[in-house]
Amino acid sequence: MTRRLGRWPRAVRVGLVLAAAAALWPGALPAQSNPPQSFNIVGLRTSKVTLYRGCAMDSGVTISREDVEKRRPWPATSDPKTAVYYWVKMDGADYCVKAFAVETDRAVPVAKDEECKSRVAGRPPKTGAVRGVGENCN
Amino acid sequence: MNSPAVHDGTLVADSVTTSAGPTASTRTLVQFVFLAALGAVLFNLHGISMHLTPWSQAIVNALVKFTYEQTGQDKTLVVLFREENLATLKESVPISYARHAEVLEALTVYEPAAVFVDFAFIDRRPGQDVTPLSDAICSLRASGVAVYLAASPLSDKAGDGLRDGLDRSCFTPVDVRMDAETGVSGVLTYRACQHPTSCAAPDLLWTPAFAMAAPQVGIGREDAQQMELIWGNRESRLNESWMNCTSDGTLVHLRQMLKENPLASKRKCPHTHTISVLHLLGRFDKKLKDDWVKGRTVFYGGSFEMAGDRVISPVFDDLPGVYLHAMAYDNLLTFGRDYKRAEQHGLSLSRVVNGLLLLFTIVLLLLVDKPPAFARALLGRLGEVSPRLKWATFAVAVGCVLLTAFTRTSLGAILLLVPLLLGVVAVLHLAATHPERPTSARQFLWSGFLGIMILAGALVLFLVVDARYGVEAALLLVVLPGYFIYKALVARDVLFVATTVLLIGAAVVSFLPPINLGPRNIVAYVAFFEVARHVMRHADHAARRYFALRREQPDPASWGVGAGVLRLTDRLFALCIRGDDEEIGHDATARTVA
Repeated sequence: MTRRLGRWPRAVRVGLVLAAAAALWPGALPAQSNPPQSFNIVGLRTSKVTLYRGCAMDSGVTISREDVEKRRPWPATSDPKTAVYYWVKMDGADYCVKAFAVETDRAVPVAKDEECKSRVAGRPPKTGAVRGVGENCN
Repeated sequence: MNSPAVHDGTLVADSVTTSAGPTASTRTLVQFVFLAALGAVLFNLHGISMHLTPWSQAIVNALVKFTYEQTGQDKTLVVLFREENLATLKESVPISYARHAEVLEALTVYEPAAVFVDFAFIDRRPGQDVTPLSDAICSLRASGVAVYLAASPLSDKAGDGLRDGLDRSCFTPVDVRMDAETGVSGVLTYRACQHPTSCAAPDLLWTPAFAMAAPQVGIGREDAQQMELIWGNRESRLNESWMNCTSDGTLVHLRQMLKENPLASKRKCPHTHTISVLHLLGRFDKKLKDDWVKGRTVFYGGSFEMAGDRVISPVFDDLPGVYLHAMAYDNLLTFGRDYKRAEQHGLSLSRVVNGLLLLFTIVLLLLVDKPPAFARALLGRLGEVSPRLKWATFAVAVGCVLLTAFTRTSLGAILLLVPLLLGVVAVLHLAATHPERPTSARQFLWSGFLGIMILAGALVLFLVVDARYGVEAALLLVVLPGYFIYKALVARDVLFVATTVLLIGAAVVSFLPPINLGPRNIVAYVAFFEVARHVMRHADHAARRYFALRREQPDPASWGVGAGVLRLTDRLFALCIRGDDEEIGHDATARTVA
């Protein structure tokens, strides 16, 4: 009985070592969600594009192809949360720019399609209300 | 003639005169009128067809799956603003003008041929400037893309009913009203304009599909008729690359089919190629542009909870409303000027053909199931036609079928009408000259065994085919042939099989140009055929029993009614008798009574 109890500390030590190893194993680490990529903007696909300061839609600044031309190569980073915008610096402030509208010096990888496994067809729950009823009535 | 008086004072001779009854041809005529009235009541008032019942619709879906060409699918793309995109883009419903402008700017980069915007910009929005949206529409137009905007459906607003601030020279307003659902099938019709029968008036707005497809396929305002929508259900590689298209599974399909109907389990992914706004607004994708957007017609619509813009289709689970317009456009490109019509030039040709199919079913029932003597004599004469003429006719029929199958003809319906009519004549002739033989004891046992084998075989095959090709294929390739084989070999109901084949032939004829009607509800006609046959058999049985009793008890007093009423009853029951062997029985009744 005493001998059996004497084995406990060793078993705990082995367990701790295994747990630490498992925790440090790369596969066990939580996957980083689309880390930001750095690249350069080299042109526009549209004649002009709107940049949004702090990505707020109500604070847009429109720039033309020529403006981009002056700044090229214009360093930019991808947004880890969405593939819709890239981040650039302009006059010391952070702006986001529409991803589809700019040409980049290299293909910006998309970690995973944000729409993966979406359902388009389906029966929505029947409701007796319309979206937005009662909002901003005053 | 000395007529014995009965105790109520009437003469038995009166009954005898009545018992002579109507002739076989009169009876057939009355039965025809009765069945036509019954059909009219069942199809119109009770609505057994409801356009397409679930089983008929499921068969149509299966046929469409294997025959619908990809012409329209290849040229159509839906860009969907999904509920889940709102959070990602920090948007809310209604979507801001700026965001719509952004989507249209992105579309400019992807160079589609035309864009339909399925969002109606009707009211002014406080704090939102519409100029960026108007500019985006105009720059899309300036880049050579035709732009169509959903007009307001409110009739009290003049013109397109859209808000001010939108440059009208940059887009074409279109009428986006949706037709009502038809029974379990969902929405099956699509108007060319607001008016149901004629779009000739130049001030009537086209619907999006007609507005965009009409110039391509050469449909003028005068030719535009309400469309019978064919819901294509081809697979889309693009959709499968990002959507969850997994179906419910074979056993679930089987359970739902047995418990409810074959439409209880619908497809999860649409036929129309689709991307979401996130795909469009994200990193520019050259492959996406070249393979799916450039030169295509884009339908830009939304899919939001509690917004009500959903369309019920016979093939898919409920879809966002924009798919209705995309499917109609797809139909127009696929069928061209031969798109399927619900109406033709103000005349409901659909109703006319339905009526003809009903009459056709009744004629088959009356002349084939138990042919009267005049029909037997008439159809028997066909056997006297020379073999050379028979073979020549057969060759013409086969030639017509081959010509329709292997050439693109606009006269398919007319060509196929020849073999169809010959098929009708052949069935009538065979029925008149080959009476049904009684079943032997050995045959009875063998039929039972065969029935069980067919059921087991069909069940196994259903599971295999459903797992591999889907529930529509299983229905078309297993359930339907299985039922036919059962009817032909076990029930030995050749009349049922012949009628169904001829009805299918008639449906194919009405589908082909120049008739160009939508799919017919064959299952409803076959169901009517079975109901009518049972009614006629019961009536015949009751009439024979009545006349047997009349022979046994000729005295009106024993029936508890007067001689006049009994005479009338005699006439009524005489009308229920089928065929012409009853003439003997009838005369016998008369003699007995006399």
